[in-house]
Amino acid sequence: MLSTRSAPRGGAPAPESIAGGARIPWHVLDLGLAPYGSALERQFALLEERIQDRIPDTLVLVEHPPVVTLGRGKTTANLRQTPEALRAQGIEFFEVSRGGDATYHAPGQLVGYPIFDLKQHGRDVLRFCRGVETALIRTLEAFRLAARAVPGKAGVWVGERKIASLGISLRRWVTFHGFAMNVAVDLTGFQAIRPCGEEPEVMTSMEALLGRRVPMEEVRSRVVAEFARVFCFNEQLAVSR
Amino acid sequence: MATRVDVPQLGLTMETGTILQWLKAEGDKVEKGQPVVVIQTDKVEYEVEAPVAGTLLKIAAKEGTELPVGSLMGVIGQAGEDLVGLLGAAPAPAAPPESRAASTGRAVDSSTAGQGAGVPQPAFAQSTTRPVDESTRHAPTRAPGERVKISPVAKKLAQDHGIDVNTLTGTGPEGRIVREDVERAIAAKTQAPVAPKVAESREAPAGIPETIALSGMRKVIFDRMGQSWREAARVTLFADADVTELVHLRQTKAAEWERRFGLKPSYSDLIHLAVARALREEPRINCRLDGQAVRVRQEVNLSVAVDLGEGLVAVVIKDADKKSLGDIARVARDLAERARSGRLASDDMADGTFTVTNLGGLGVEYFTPIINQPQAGILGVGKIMEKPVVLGGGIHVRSMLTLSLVFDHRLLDGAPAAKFLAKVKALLEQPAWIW
Repeated sequence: MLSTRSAPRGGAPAPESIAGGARIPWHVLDLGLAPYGSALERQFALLEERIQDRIPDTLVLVEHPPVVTLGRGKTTANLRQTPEALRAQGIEFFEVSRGGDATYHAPGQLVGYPIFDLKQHGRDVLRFCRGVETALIRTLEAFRLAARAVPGKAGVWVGERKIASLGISLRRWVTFHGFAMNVAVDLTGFQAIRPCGEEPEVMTSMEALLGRRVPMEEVRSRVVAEFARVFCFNEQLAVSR
Repeated sequence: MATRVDVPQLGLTMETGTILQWLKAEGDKVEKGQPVVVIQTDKVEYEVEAPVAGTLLKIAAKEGTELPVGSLMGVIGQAGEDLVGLLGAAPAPAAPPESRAASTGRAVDSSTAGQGAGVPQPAFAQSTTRPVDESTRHAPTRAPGERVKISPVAKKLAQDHGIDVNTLTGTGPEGRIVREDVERAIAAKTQAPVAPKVAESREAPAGIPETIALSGMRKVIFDRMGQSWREAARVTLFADADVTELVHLRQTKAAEWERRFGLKPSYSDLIHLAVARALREEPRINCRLDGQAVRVRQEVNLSVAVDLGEGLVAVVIKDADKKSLGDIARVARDLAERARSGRLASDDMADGTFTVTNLGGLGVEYFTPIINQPQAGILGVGKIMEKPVVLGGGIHVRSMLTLSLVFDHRLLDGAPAAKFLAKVKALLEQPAWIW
C-alpha cells in the first residue's frame, strides 16, 4: 500500500520556492509491529539498495515484540540476565552490528531506522546523530516535554531520565540501525539489562512523564514531520506499509 | 605497494575513533571494499573498508585503542613487503600507535593508563590539526612504481620549479601531495644551505600549529571560498550609517529589553533585524543561482557567520523578517552556542538566503567578505566609531558604522543592490521602528 500525503510543516513555504526543488526526496516505510529478526533482514536489504542508490533515503518505523539487543564487541556485563533466561520469558536476544550497548525494545516504543546516504547530508555522521536527536527533541517539545541532548551521552533526555536511545552504524556513508523512543512502553522490561550501561530506573516514557495516554500514531507522524524539517526532506512523502 | 588503513574522518567535529573489532587477522586476504575493521566514535559504529585488495600485513593498533583521526590502524599490501616506509623508520613495529599518539601529544589510548588520557581536547582541533608524523614527513611513503597522488595545483607548481614529485611526501588526505608540500620543497631547494634556519623561522607562535592540514572544516572552507572567488562577479558597495540614534536607543531600552526578552540584544541582533526587514522590502538581492535561472526567494533566512576559533560556520536564522528582536537575539545565541559546542543539526546551516558577517568587535572598519554561495550577497559590518560629521553646517561627533555590501553582479545589478543597502542604512539611522 503506497499512499502520498503532505507532512505538516507549520507555516513553511511551498517546496518550489525553496531552492527550486533542493529538498531531498525520501520515503517512509512503516512496518507496524514486526519481529526484530525480520525487521533486521529488511533493514540490511534496504541498506544494500541504498548503497547501490536504487532507493531514496528511507526511514523505517517499527515496533518490536520484546527483544534485548547488544552492540557489537560489547560484553554481556550489561545484561542482568542470561540470553537463555531472557528467552524463557519470551524476550528475544540479538547481538547486532551497531554502536551503543545493551538495549530493550517492546511494543509502545517507536523504533526508527534511518537508511540515509550521508553523502547528501554533508558527510558528517556526528552531525547526523545531532540531527536525529533534534528531530526527537522537537517531537517531544510538541507534546510539551522539555527534552535535551546530553554532550557525551547519545540519546535524548528529559531531566535526568532517558526517553530515547541512539545506536547508529555506517557503511559506505549510509546509516543504519537508529533510535528507539519510549512512547508507552512498559518500562519494567528494562530491568533485564543495564540500558547503555545506565541503571534501568533511568529510563522513562512519554506516558510516564505526561500521565496520560499518548497515541503512537500521533508520535509517529510528528517524528516524520520533524525528520523532514531537520534533514531538508521533501514534503511530498510516500508512506508504505 | 602497501596502503595505509587510517582512522577516517567521519565528521567535522570527530577527533578520535576507537577500534572496536578487527574483522580480519594479519595475513588474511582482503578484497577492495571489504570491511576489515570496525571503529566507533560517539556511539556510532563504522565499518572501515579495505581501500585496496591484498593481504592485511599489519595490525598497528589493537582493539580498544582510541586514536586521533588520520592515525594508522593497519597496512594492506602484498606478502613480504617492506613496511618501514609506512610504519615509520624509528619506532619498533610492535608499538606504532602508542608512540605515534605520544609523539603528537594526543595519546588517548584507553587501555594504557596514565598516557595522557583525560587531557581536554579542543572541539575542532582534529579537524584542523591532523597530526603529521615527523618520522615519515621527510621520506616518501610510496613503494616504487606506485601512482603519485597529487593535487593539480601542486603538480603545476612542482613542474614550474623543477621539483620531482616522487621525492615528496604528501600531507593531504590519503597522503595526497598538496601545494604546501611542494612549497616546502621549493623553499628547501632554494635555501638548501640554511635549511635548518628556515625550519626554525617557520615555527609558529604557541598555540597555532605549524602545519594545518586541508581536511575537515579547513578543507570545506578552502573549497567553498575558492569556488566563490573564482565564480562570482563581485561588486562592493560601501555606505556609512549614522547610528547615533541606534546607540542611544539601545542604551535607553536595555533594561526594558532585558525584562521583556530575558537577555540584552547586541548591536549584531539589531543589525540582523534591520537587514531582515530590508530584505523583505528590497527582496531582489535575496536570490540564488539555480541552474540557468536566478530564483528570488520569498523567505528571508539570514545566515550569520560564527567564528569557532579554528574555523567558521554560517548558522541560519530562519524567517528572520518575521521574528521580533527578542526572538532574533535568542535564536542567534542558541545557534552560536550550539555551533561552539559542536551540536548543530543540518538544518541549522541550511537554506540561508543572505549572509551578515560582523568584524566590528575585532576593530575592523570595513572589509569585502566573500559571498556565501549559492547566495547573491553578503553584508560586512564594521566597528561603530565616533567620527566628526558635518550636519547642518556644523561639525558634530556622531557614532558611525560602515556597511560593506558585496554582491554577485551576475545575479543582479547595482541599482537594486544599492537600494537594499540604502534601506539597511535608513532602518539603522532611524530606529524608531524598533521597539
